[in-house]
Amino acid sequence: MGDSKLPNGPGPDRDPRTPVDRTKPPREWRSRPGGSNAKRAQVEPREASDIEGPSKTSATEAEASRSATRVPASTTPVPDPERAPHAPEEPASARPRGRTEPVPSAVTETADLPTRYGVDRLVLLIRDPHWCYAWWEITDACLQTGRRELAEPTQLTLRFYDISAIDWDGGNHHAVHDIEIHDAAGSWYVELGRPGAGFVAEVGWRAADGVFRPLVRSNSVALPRESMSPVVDENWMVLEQEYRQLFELAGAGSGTRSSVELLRTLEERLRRELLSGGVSSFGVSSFATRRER
Amino acid sequence: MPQGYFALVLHAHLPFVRHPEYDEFLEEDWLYEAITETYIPLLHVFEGLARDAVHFRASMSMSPTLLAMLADDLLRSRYVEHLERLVELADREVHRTRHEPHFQELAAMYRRHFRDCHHTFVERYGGNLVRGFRALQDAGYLEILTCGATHGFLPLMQTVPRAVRAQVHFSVQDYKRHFGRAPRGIWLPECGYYRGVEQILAQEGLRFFVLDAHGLLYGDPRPKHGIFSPVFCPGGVAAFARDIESSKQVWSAEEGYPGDYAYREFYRDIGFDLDLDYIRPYIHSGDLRINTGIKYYAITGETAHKQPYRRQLALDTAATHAGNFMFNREKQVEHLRGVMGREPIIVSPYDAELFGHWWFEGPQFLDFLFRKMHFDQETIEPITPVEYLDRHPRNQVLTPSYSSWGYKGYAEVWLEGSNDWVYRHLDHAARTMVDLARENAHANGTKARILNQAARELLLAQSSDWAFIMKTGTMVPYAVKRTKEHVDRFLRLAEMVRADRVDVASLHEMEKRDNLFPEIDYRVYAQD
Repeated sequence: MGDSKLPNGPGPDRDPRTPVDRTKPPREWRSRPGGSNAKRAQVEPREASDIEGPSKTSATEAEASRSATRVPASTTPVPDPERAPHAPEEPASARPRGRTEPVPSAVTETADLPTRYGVDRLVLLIRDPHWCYAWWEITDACLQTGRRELAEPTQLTLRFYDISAIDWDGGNHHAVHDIEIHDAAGSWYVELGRPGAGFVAEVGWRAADGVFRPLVRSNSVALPRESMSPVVDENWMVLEQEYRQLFELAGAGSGTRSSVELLRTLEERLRRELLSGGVSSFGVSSFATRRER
Repeated sequence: MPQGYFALVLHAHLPFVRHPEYDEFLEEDWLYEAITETYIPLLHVFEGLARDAVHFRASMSMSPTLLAMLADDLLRSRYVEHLERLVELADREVHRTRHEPHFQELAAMYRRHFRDCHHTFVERYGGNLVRGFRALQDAGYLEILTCGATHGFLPLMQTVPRAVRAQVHFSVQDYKRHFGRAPRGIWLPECGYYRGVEQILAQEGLRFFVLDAHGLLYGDPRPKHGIFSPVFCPGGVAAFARDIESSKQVWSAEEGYPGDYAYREFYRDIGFDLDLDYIRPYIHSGDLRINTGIKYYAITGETAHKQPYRRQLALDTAATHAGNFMFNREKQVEHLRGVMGREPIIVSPYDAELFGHWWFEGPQFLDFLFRKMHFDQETIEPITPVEYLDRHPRNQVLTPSYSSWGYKGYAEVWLEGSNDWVYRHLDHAARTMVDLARENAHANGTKARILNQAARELLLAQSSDWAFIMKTGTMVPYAVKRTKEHVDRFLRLAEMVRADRVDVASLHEMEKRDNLFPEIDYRVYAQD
């Protein structure tokens, strides 16, 4: 204490926790050691391998070979969503000290949440133009309904219907894709792989003879497109030349490029920006950073 | 007559973190840091521009959770205590560095700033900073946008449309309480758009929102002017798109201004650098070192040996960057004006907390930028989205595309292995809330209180911040705890209603803790 000299640079006695290269604040902000970038590095290869690798479910393969329509989906098994991703420990920050009042336990206990709510529900959430996340819960009563009438063995199945650009009546879908599932409450990430397409899903029993008995139906989703719309409003015509200039792609010898190539270049550029993370929000992470102790 | 327009949009938001049950709570520091480093510096910059009659316009969203904290008596008094400790620390720093004039100058700079903050916070605004921003809005300089009530990520909430409606409705209602008029624009939390949300915005009387670039570019039909002019969604709400170029200039790790070597280094804080015995009274109990906000070094370069921060050099750099930013916008606008045949609008949204908290010189950058725009050129004019719509009421109609400003541009930040488990709980709670609201349309007294508190707990559980923190990997247990806690409280309250068995003590305790949205009415969940 007292007039200790200001530290100047990490000498041998400097705290090794002190980050070394903090030359590019925004990136560092988002990539604290063990933070987002490090995490991405772990996460993405796993996903990439899941995308490119052979499907891990035999149902997918079976369906792929069975279906005349090329099945767009591959699947990624997901651990039980109820797995406690983090032990329900008390955060380090919640350290009562001094004259902290006694608190009624009715409020402070962080009870584990129910693993089931006793509902029959299937929900699709859009992750990006290629992937969606499905979670479901089916009650025992619902599971048994009508099962006896089906040819054994029966397989619990998550079935996707491609309903792009149609008014689905339950039978006029384009393609069907089945995923074998084994839990009455679970979740999957599914690579539908068709930006701009529409899907709806059901969980049901698939009987030995191929009969499918749906138990619960999802919301329908429209995957976002990943390219410019082909539709042009005649009152707001877009000329190729205008687009070229609007996005300053006129350079780089693009004079002979077709509008299709032009759009592809623009879309590619946009995708690069999104993937770079250079334009994504930091959220609260700047406050939530804390040096490792 | 300008050739085009520039719309700065700052998104100010922090999740609701308020723990009366503890004397000190680490995560409450987020608010205190943001007030000292961002909100007050921005206020000072805007007030200075107004005082000097500089023509400027800025838009700023202030999330309802942030407003609730800024207006909360407990957090206000805790902030003042926090600030007074900082003044005391700066005093000691001025003394400690008396043999090192350069550092002493910096210590004195911090002391001055903390004292200014104290003056602004306590004397000028009586502890309520919202008044300062409101005055700027009332004077026409600032357009304050609302946000989702608790910053819920709406695209992942759309399976319960009434939950989305409630996020928007309660934020609009709360805005009126703080600002004395209805909001005209909304910052969709995380810039998260899905097809159909515009109908809800229209129902709530909102005129515009901001989209990420690809949300508009991939809209249907194809946007004639790309991202450089707003569009109307079916239903009449206008959408403005984020400009990619100007975002990158400020934000990108490779090209962004904040990484300049002359700027202040964020990670060299005396809370970590000085002897524990000395700094102990100013960090957290248990010797948990934290950022104090006093930092003496410059980014310097890709080296561990940081040079002392030189304030004047940093300010000169900020001025140069402001000039560069303006020059680029001028060129952009001149080019676009020729192509489009009308005045383009460049919309540049950023997290407000980038300015000051992270990029220490950020508020000065904005100050220089608006002054330069006012005095040094006539090509671009700062504008708010509403002013632009008034000047250009005829715009293309199209439906934007699902998008966000998160990493990769869609929902993956908030929907991945670390955080996807929350959605079945949020879905269940939201649907239960709708059922309860319908079944108890005429509740009053204690029952109405329970239902209103249930709505608050649901809203708090929906904050996108918890999923975000789970993904980024720091402070994860806190985010998990908050999610579980609010869902758990919701379930207890729902049970009280269903079983008609009231636990008044628990209800009272929850009301005391999660005390935001005083005017909430659970019946909104029953409305079509």
